Amino acid sequence: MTFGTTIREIVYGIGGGIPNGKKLKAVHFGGPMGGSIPESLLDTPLDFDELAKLGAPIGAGSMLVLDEDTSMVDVARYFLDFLTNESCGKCVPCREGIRQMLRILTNICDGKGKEGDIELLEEISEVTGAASLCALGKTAADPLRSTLRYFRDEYEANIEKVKRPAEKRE
Amino acid sequence: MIMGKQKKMSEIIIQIDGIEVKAEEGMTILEAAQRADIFIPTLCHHEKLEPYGACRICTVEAELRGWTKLVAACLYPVEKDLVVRTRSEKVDKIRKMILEFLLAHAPCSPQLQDLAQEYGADKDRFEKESSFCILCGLCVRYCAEVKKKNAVGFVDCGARREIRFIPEIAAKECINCKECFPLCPTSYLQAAFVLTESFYER
Repeated sequence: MTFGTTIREIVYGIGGGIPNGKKLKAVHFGGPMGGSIPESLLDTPLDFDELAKLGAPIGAGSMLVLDEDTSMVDVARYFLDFLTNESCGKCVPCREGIRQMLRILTNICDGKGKEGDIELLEEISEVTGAASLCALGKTAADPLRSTLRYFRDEYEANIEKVKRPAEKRE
Repeated sequence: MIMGKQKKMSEIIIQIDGIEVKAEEGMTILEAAQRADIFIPTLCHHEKLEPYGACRICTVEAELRGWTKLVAACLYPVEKDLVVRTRSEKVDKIRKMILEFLLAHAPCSPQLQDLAQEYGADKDRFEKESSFCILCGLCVRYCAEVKKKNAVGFVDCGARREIRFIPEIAAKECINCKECFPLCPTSYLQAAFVLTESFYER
């Protein structure tokens, strides 16, 4: 792939677009410790600096194209589920941070999200990122952070959905 | 004579919490702080054991040539002109959350409770998962490094990591030793041993 090619060209030109006439929702770079960019940033060129600035570093070079049916909360959950098994478990911020973030994300995906969950996720990801022993812990929350940056409304909508029936009962 | 001279040459002045502290090359921030009676909390550190850097409760701010990093004081070597801050908003926030993580596993540990009070950690912040072990590894490392027996070890990884006695070794070595028991910050170790013991006697 030539650097400087836009992501749009890669997805729609070389890749042939999204199957079954679906709309594109996000492109995820760098695997389980990478980040996602939304459809609106598709004209970004493939470039280390440009993508890093957007919170989606190229990393090992993998590119995952996600269509409109994908839940971005589930994407973050999926990567942390992978990483909890990759963590060696030696240091507390990584082992316990991933454990707690995964628990909250699973709850949100299962319709058991609570108000304050997003703020707690942000706080945990900050501590895990700053205090972990190695790069796995330091970057484990990167997909979560990037989905919170561009798809926060999805997190809010998932939690809101849970809240609404309760309010109706009142 | 020569030795003395070398020692003098390797003396380093660093600053910890605004106080000038004399340290020697090769020392960690924690050792330099302890020498100057400046307290940095630790959970997985033991003077007889190699630095481990697992609990991260000793995280401090280390500033060098204008760059500030968050580092584990038990591992980070002192360096000329190093400026260390043992308390800051960032450091306290990290320590508070580490304690909250660990209190979900061992809510009754006196050592954790004392630190929780200091850093305003809420023991009920995270759902209880009472494994009672905080995986500081003091028992594992003491047995390996000091006793050289490896009767207790870590098994599995990530959130599934735990300590376990090796019954074949423990049956021979532990009855008359038990030196690791008082090191355990949560007393889970003794329970794990009793379980192993009863299993082995069966």
